[in-house]
Amino acid sequence: MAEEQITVQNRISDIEEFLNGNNAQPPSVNVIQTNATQLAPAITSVSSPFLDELKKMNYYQNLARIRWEKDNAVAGDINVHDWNEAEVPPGFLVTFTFQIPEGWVLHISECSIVFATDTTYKFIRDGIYEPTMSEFFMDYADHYKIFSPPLRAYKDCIITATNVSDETNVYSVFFSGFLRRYRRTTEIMSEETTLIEKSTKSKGMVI
Amino acid sequence: MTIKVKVEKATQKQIQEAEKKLKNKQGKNGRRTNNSSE
Repeated sequence: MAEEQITVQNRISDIEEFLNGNNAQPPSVNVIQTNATQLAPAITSVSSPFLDELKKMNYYQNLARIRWEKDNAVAGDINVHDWNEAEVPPGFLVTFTFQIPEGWVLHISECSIVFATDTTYKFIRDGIYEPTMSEFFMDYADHYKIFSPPLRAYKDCIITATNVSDETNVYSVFFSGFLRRYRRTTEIMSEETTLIEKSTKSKGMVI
Repeated sequence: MTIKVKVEKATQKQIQEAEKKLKNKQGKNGRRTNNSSE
């Protein structure tokens, strides 16, 4: 068995242990995004049992992270969930938009859309089309595509489904997660600069 | 927080892209099935 294959399987075991409550926090949290970014091109272009395992690993890592963050809730976090549906005739497309309020970040723990044949899906997060997310989890359920939960979304999330079949389809979308307040790095830096200026002025120093 | 919905007619380009994508996917699945039966 290839070395990288063993590593992947070990990671899946670690994550499953975490999900079973045996570990205090998800393993290798810092490398999750790096892994996902590096693996994304390979996952879209090739399909094999090994890559299916990688997809699964990414799913569990994201889920573990969301759970960990939820277990370590910050005062002011708001749990959110919603559902909606649309009837879409042939040759039409539906756009579902999760509206994220300004100054908040949405942590998505689950996100699914009904699966229909002759339909293509797109997932856009923070204004960027994510082809891997759109393809990721179509094998995980019979009737629902479950998108790999994005770690965070700062801007509106958009899912589109284009119906190219000969029949009208009904697509329903569900998501759950929580909203957490955030401050932009620039805002924090600006506040820190102001504090430093105030401090030096009060001490009679000149910058 | 809510999910907004909008249904609109797909452009010819969007439909062509979708059909191409589905065709590619069917091709890949077909190849995979053949490989697994070997």
